[in-house]
Amino acid sequence: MSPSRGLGSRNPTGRPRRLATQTHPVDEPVDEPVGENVVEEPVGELDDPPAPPEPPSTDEGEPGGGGGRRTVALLVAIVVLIGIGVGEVVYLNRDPATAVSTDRPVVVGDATRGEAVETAARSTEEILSTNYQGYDDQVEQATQKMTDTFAEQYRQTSDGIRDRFIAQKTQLQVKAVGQSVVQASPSQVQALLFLNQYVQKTVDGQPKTDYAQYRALVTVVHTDHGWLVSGIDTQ
Amino acid sequence: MEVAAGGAGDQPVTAGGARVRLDIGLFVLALVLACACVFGGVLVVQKHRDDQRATAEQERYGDVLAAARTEVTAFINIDYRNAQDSIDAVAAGATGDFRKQYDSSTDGVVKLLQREQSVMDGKVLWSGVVDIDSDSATVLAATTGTVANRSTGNKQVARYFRLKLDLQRVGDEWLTSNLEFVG
Repeated sequence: MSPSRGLGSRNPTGRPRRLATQTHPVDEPVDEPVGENVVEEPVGELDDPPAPPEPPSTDEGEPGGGGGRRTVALLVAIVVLIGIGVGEVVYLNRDPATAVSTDRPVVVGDATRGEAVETAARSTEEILSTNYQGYDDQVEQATQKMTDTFAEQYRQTSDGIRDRFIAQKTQLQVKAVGQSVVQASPSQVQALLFLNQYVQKTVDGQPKTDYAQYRALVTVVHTDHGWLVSGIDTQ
Repeated sequence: MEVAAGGAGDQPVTAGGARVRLDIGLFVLALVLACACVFGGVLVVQKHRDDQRATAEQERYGDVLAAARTEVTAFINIDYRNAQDSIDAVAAGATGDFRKQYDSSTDGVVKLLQREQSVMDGKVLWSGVVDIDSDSATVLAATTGTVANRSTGNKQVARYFRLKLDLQRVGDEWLTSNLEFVG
């Protein structure tokens, strides 16, 4: 007989301590001899049914159980994912800032900038280069490069100088020797051009040539017909 | 096992089985959404980087034009009575050979300005970028202003310039490495 037995037998709970950790069924026969100090409790107490096992998982079926929690968790995850997706779509479709400012005078890519400035330079050369021969046709052709509003102003100016221009047999050739971008947005670009102007005309029966250098701030706007000149400011 | 009543075909349907099928469906949906979100996240990161790069490029235009205007303004505002200050202002925005020219010929320029009693003032009318990259740029500037010296009888005469500047990025600054008149 071990001392522990003796202690166990004096357990105030009246339950043998060994039973608490036993691994064999309580109703298995115990090999050790049962002494009067070993079991003091009635045998019937050993026959008490074991603690009921943990209830089986109710994942399958019972509303409000583990299965319900899993469904709720999945629904929450789906809602969160949809929210994230909507946020991503909104961000991806957000237009970049297109307002020009002193700090950011050019808010378009190189391709757009280059195309607009090139159009401004070539259109300005064509608009300002005029020959007394076929003057009216040239004016009309030049207006194809302009917005309607600017074309109207240009026609008025052209009409005002037409007679003298033709009478003096004026030939006016303008060449852009420098071109740069001052401001650029997707809808409007301002280009600074350095222009050289060569003039041939007849004054009092004498041929006369002239040459001038000036600067022009040319504004082009984007339309369905491409970039059109909406203003030429020269100095 | 709890058994629910079947449908019209008297097929018994377990509530547990329906729940499992529902969960599987939701799980598949969540998985698809998660994959879409990951893909979208990659696109968002890519767009964010593109936007940042575009912003930096756009601000570079502003920085270059501001530096060019400052340098041109210094270049066309010269007073023989403060000749050294005028020259120092130009040199402050210069680098490379352009800076060396000013450093090496300061004495001669000061004497010339004083002898001619030159006074130039003006402002930048327009300026634009011809070409630009991360560390160099070319700018055109149109100026308006006046000049007065002995040859004008010390009277102010209108003077317009067409200038072309080459700029280089030096540290955090854009400095002018060349300035020339465009004929």
